[in-house]
Amino acid sequence: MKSIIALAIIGCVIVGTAGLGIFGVRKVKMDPTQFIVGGRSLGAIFLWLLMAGEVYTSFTFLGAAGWAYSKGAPAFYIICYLTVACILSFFYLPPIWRTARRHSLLTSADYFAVKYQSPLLGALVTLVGVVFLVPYITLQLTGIQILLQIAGYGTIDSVLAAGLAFGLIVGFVLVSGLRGAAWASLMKDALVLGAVLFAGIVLPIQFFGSPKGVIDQVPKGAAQLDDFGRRNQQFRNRLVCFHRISDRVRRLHVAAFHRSSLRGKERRSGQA
Amino acid sequence: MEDRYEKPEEDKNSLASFCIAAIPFLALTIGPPFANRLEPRIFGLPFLLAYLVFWVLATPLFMLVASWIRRPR
Repeated sequence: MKSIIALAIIGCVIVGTAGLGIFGVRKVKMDPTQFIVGGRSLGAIFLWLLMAGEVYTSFTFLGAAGWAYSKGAPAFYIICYLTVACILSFFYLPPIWRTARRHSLLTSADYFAVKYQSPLLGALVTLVGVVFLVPYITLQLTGIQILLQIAGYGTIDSVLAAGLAFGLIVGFVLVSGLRGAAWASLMKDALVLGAVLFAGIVLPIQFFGSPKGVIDQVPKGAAQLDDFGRRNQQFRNRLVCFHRISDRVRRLHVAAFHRSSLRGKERRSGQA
Repeated sequence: MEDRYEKPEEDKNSLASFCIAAIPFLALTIGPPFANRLEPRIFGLPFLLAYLVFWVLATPLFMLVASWIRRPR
């Protein structure tokens, strides 16, 4: 029953998001420029919504959270790097955009081929882009799979479901293009914001009394991890354990050797 | 309309805007090792986290000033 509710919610979100995207492009005539770069006419606010939607993926919710949980403060880099990237983009993206518009370019490979007068460089950029998208898509599909596993309470075949979800994504993208994705971002941004507020405020209040309560729990765990003596003890325990195992193996070997040599003696004495 | 897409004329102020944008950039790249402390807590957050959140929230203001310098109305 729980799994039906959870899966129904996910189904509603998928249908709603895809519906919004397809609704957004219902009157748009699709050509390559419209499909790949939204006809270069998305506008500042729409582009902002699209970028916000593209930045937050299943990595943000599963990967980043898991990393922060297992590694602690080093995961704070996730807060910084996008901001730093945006500061840099402020300076180098507008010239790229102007060049691309002047030459009616569509992909980053086009840009490199035209800017550096080298079709070979363009081909290389395409190749690098495709190769490095593979692990990225794998990451996203793994995220979908984990989500469906949890939402289905183990009742559904997650590989099949992830395959189905991937098919839906590909179908949606083929129909809607970049403009449809920007429309879908409207819904996605709202959901992400809601989820962040929920995870940052409601969950801590539910389990720790206040958001501050969660942070107060962290140093206790960290103190345990940083306790050198404890780690040393663990290491020693492992050494002892290893020694015991190797000792047992040695004894087994000795016993086996004794048995075989005994058998040999018996055989020899039997022959004699 | 077409002018909007051409290279803006006001590149003379690009160094100033670059310097303004460099402040949050450096605060987020070189700053964290110097802010790597637990205390004092700010709204219950460890100091480092509060420092990062502050600079992420402050960055749009710096970028607003930077773009304002580049394109005076």
